[in-house]
Parts: sequence; structure tokens; C-alpha cells
Amino acid sequence: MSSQLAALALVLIGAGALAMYGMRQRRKKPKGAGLIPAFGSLANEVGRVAEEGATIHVALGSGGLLNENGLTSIAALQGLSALTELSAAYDTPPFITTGDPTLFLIADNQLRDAYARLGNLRNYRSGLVRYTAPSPMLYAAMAATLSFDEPVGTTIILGAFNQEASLLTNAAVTEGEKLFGGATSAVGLATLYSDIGEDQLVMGEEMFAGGAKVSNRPVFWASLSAENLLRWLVVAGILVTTGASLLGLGD
Amino acid sequence: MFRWFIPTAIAVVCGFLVLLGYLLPVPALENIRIDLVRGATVLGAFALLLAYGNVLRVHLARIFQKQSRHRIASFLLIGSAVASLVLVLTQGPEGTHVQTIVKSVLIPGESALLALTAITLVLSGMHLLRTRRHINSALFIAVVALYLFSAVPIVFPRVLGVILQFVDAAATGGMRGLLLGVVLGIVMTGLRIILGIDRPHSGG
Repeated sequence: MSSQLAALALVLIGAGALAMYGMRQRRKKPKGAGLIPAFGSLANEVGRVAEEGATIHVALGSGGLLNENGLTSIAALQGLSALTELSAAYDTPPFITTGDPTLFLIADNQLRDAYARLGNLRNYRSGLVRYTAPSPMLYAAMAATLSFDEPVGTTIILGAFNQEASLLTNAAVTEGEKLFGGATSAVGLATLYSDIGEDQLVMGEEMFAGGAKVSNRPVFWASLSAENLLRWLVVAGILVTTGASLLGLGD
Repeated sequence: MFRWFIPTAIAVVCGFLVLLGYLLPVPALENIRIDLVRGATVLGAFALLLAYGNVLRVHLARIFQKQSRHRIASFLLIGSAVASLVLVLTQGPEGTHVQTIVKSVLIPGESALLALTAITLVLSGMHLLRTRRHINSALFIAVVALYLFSAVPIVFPRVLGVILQFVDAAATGGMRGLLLGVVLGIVMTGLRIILGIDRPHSGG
């Protein structure tokens, strides 16, 4: 019961902080535009691979909307929005692979909308977003074959991943592709770290800052400020409970 | 307006009700939450049908493409999918032949892939040593080696035990910090969707 109320308090404070920072951010220019270089470089990849006559493979993982990784996948897609917009503008769409049917629909919707906003919907090809397999390991194995089957120049592995990501990175390294990626789990990050440079790696909570970085919408920056406020509150809570525990209170 | 307003309104109302059903100890809200989550599962099943339609379309196109290199693979995939479907429909998911396929093909196949990741991870470690020679890489490899070494069932020298304890404490702290940041990110992303600021379901 007390944990539920603590969670409710956290959510209410988060909503209040989002509203407050949202109003402040409207008047201010967003800060931190230089944060997380990986998201900044993603859109540049569209032009680079187009010049090479290659394509981009975006692996979104198996985090579906009906499991605990749903919001990680949504955050990953938001971080990729600039890339999908630019790809639609130049009609050099990426291949997007997912390991979850609900994520497949959301990704397909995002790419289709990018084409629709430009009035170019008739050029959209429905096989660009592919659902490959239901389990993470099979998904990674099937998605990795894309590196060998298609002229992929850049592979982006972004979303909910664990050690299965090494199948994807290995295929990309073997084919000499440029790699970008990020994960929110420690296992996924450790796997990606060895093949992806630090400037191309999105670590943990940075995944949730991608939308702010690429869209520059004030509400996303407000959300990051609210997140920082919550973090300090949680840190203060940890310090208070540690202190109370050391003093022998609250047992 | 109808394209985004109605889906957003439904998402916002459902999101609020599910969140309140989790956080408030009110039985009526909890029942609504259970019903809504059940409904979402049904929608998930439709999403699965659409996703399998996508698999079918991609592989049928490969089969009928004249210069496709993947005709046999795609044919095999669709053939096994149809055969599995027929077996499940005739015998049910617990049927003898269905269980044989699961136990003799699917489970060993996935286990083999899991074993393969051990090799790809070693290759990644070698790639790291070859391409990024700096202190972070060395530290990363040293910690991985230490952990692997500690998994060997031998008696360690006392000093190694102390180092392991230190690394363990640092790793646990780091993981908790990582998790805390991720959880806060999830909370704020969820709030943006529930408040209708983000509309991933309707392209906003």
C-alpha cells in the first residue's frame, strides 16, 4: 500500500513538474542541444548511406507495447523521428525490424506518417518495416541476416536489448557497417559497448532524451527537467531513509 | 481532427484509468484496469495477425521474385508455418506432434543461438581491443575477465576476493543508478502519453 502511494506521489509530482517546466520552457530557448552526440549524428547517416547507394537497418528489438519494455521502444522511436522524416523526404527509407507485433504497428505507423506528412504516401512501401520473430534471440538472428541480404551501410540497434544484440553487432561488424545503438539494460549495454564507439552509444536514460534532442520541442525539454527534479527527490529520499536506518529509526 | 483526436482521447482515458487502477486501492478501478488490460491483450492478438501478414507478404514476394536468392529459405519458412498452423488447429497446442516440434526444433534452435552469443561476445571483446585502445576499454575487459575468472570453482587468493567485492559493489551501485534513470525516463514518457502530449499511436 505505502509503495503504491509513493508511486502515486511520484507520478503527481512528475505531472506537476511537467506542467510547470512546460510553461517555463515555452519562453526559453532549449538548453543542452549538444547532449548525446549519437542522436545528433543519426540524421546525417541518411545522406551518407544514400551517397553510398546503401540503406539503413534500424533494429528496434522485442520491447512490445504490452510488456514492460514498451516505453523504452517508444522512446527509441522518438529518438529516430528525425531519421525517418529525412528518409521520407529523400525517399531513402530505412529497413526497420521489430520482434514484437505491437511495436511493428507503431514503427510502420511512424514511417508511413513521415511519408504522409510530405504528401508522398504513394511512394511508401509496406515491406520496409518487418516483423521477424517473436522471441528476442530468434528476432536478433533473423534481423542479422538483413546485413547480408540487403546493401546495409549503417545499422542502428536501439531499444530493449540484452545479449542477443551481439548477433546483430557481429553481423554489422563483419559486413563493415557503421554502428549506432543503445539499450537500457546493463546486459544490453555491456554487449553493445564493445562494438559501438562511445559517441555512437546511447546509455540507459539517455534513450529517453532522444525525442528532445532530435525534435527540440519545448515539452520534451520540460520533461527532461521534470525528470531531473524527480531524480533529486529520489536521491533525497534514499539519503533520508539511509540516515534513518543508520539511526535505527523506522524498523 | 478525427484521425488524431479520437485515438488520443481513448488513449488518455484508458491510460488514466489503468494508472489509477494500479495506484489507488479502489476495487472498482482495479476491475476496470483488469478489463482494459484484457482488451489490450485482444488488440495485441490482432497486432500479431497483422505482423504475421507482414511476414507472409515479405516472403511470398521473395518466392515470386525472379532473381531472388532467398526463394528456398522463404518457401521453407512459409511451408513450416503452414504445417505448424495445421498441426495446432488439428491437435491443439499440447498435441504430440506440436510438442515434438517445440522440443526437437524450437528449443534446441534457440539454445544454439544462445550458445552462439557466447562466441559473438568473445569476438566483440577482441574487436574492442583491436579498435579502441584506451583506458575505458582496458577497464571494461579487465572487469569482464575478473568476473569470468571468479566463476571458476577454485579457491581464490584473499586479495582477489577483496577486489571482487569492490567491483561487485561498484557494479551493483552502477546498475541501480542506471535503473533509477531508466525508471524516471519511463515515468516521464508514460506521463507524456497519458497527458496526450505524445501520440505515438496516431503519429504525433
